[in-house]
Amino acid sequence: MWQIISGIYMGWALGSNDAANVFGTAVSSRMLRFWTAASLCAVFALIGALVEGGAGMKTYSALSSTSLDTAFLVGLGAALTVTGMTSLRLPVSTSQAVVGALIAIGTAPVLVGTATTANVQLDVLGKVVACWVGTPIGALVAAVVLYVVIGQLMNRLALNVFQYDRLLRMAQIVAGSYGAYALGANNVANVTGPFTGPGMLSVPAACLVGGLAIAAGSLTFSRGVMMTVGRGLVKLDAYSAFIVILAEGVTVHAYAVLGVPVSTSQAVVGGVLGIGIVKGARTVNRRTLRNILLAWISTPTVSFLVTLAGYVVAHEVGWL
Amino acid sequence: MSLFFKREKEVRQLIDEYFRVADETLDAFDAAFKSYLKDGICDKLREADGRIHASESRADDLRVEIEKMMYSHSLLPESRGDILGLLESFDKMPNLAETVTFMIVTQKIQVPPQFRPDFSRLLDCNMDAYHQVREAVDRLLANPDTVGAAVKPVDEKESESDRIERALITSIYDSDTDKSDRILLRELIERVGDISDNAERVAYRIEIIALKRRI
Repeated sequence: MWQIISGIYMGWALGSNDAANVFGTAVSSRMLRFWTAASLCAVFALIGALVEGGAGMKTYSALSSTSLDTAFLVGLGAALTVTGMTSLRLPVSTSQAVVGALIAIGTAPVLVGTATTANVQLDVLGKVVACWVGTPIGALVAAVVLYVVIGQLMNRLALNVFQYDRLLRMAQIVAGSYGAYALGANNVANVTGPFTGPGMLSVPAACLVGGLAIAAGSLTFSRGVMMTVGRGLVKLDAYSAFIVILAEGVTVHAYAVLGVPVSTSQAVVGGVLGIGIVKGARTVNRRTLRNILLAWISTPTVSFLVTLAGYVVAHEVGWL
Repeated sequence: MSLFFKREKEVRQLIDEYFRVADETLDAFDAAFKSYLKDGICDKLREADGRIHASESRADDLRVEIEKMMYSHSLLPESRGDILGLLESFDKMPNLAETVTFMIVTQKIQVPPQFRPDFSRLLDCNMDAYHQVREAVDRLLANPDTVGAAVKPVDEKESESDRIERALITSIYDSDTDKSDRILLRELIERVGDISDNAERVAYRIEIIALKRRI
C-alpha cells in the first residue's frame, strides 16, 4: 500500500494551501494566532472529511476506475501538476488536476493498445465540469444573499463599535471553522478518492487518511499562504471578509453534498466578486477572472498529459 | 477565547479612562480660563497650568498604552484604525487646553477688560462644542445609531465660535490696544477657537465610524 504516499502528499499540499482560504483573514490581521487557526482548520477539516467526505469519493470512482498502481499515478500526476504550476505561478486547482489525471488513466489503455474503449464516464465528467463553473457563480450568489440578509440582521442589533467588533471576530472564527469543515468534506476525495475500491481503501478509511493528510498540511506548512491570501482579503472590510469566507464554506459544502470536489480558491474569488456587486465596486480584476478560466482548461490538460506520460513510461518498463 | 475578550475589556477600560482624563483636562482648563478672565494671571492660574499639563501628559500616556494593547491581538484591524484615529484626533483638544494655559502663563497675556465678556462667550462656546463631541463619543461607544443627533450641534457650535472669533479679532484691531498685544490676543483667540474646529473634525470622524458599521 506504499502507493498511497502520492495521495498523502497531495493532501498535505492541499491542507497547506487551502487553509489560507478559511483562516487567512483572521491570522493575517493578528486576530487569531497561527497555531489556533491551524489547529481549528486541522480539526474541522478532519471532521468534515470523516462525516461528509464519502460522496466525492463515489463520484471519482464513477468517473473512472483505478487500481492501486494507477491510483498512485493519479495522485502523482495531479500532485506534480499542482506543484509545478504553483512554482510557475500559474493558476491551478487540485480538484481539476485530479480529474485530468483520472481521465488520463481512463484513456491511456487505449493509447498503449491494451483496451479498445476509454474508461471515462462522460455524464459524470459533465456533472463535474458543470460544478467547476458553478463554484464561483454559486459563491457569488451566496455572497450577495448572505451580505444582504446578515447585514439587515446586524443593523437591527444597533451594535456599538466593541460589540460589532466582537461579533465579527466570533463570526470569522465560526465561518472559518465551517469553511475548514467544508474543505475537508469536499476535497478529501482529491486526496484519497482514487485509492478507494476493491483491494484498496474502504471509503471511511480513505476519508480518515485523507483528512489526516489535509490536517497535517494545515498544521505544518500553511502559515506563509495564510499571510499572503489573508492580506489580500483584509483589503475588504471585516464584514465583507466574513461574508466571503461564509459564502465559500456554503458553496463548497453544497458541492460536497452533491459529491463533486471543487476549488476553494475559485469559491473565494466568486465571493469577493459578489461583494463587489453588492457594494457597486470592482473587487476582482480581469486578470483574476481570466486565471479562473485558464485554470479550468490548463489544470486538467496539464495533469492529463503528465499522468498520461507517467502511464506510458510505467507501461513501457513493464510495471503496468 | 477568554483571553480574546479579556484584552478587549482591558482596551475598553483604558479608553474610558482616557476620556475621563481628557474631561478632567478640559474642565480644569475651563475653570482656569474663567479665573484668568476674572483675576488675570495669578498663582491659581499657575497651579492650574501645572495640573492641566499633568493630566494632558496622562492622557497621552493612556493613548500610547491603548495603541500598544490594540496591536497585541485585540480588535479587528479596521476597529483598531478607527479607534486609534478617533483618539489621535480627539487628543488635540486636551493638547490645545495645555497650549493655551501655558501660552497665557509664559507670555503673560493680559485681556483688556472691555474684551473679557466676548472671551468668556468664546470659551463657553468652545467648551459646549467639546461637551457635545464627548456626547457623540459616548453615543458611538453605546449606540452608534444615535450619533447623528449629537454631531449636528458640534457643527453649529463651531460656526458660532468662528463668528465670535472674527468679531472679537475685528474689535481688538479696531481698538487702541498695543500692536504686539493685538498679535498675542489674536493668537490666543485662534487657539481657543481651535478647540471647536477640532471638535468638528472629531464629530465627522465619529459619524463616519458609525456609518461604516451600517451594512
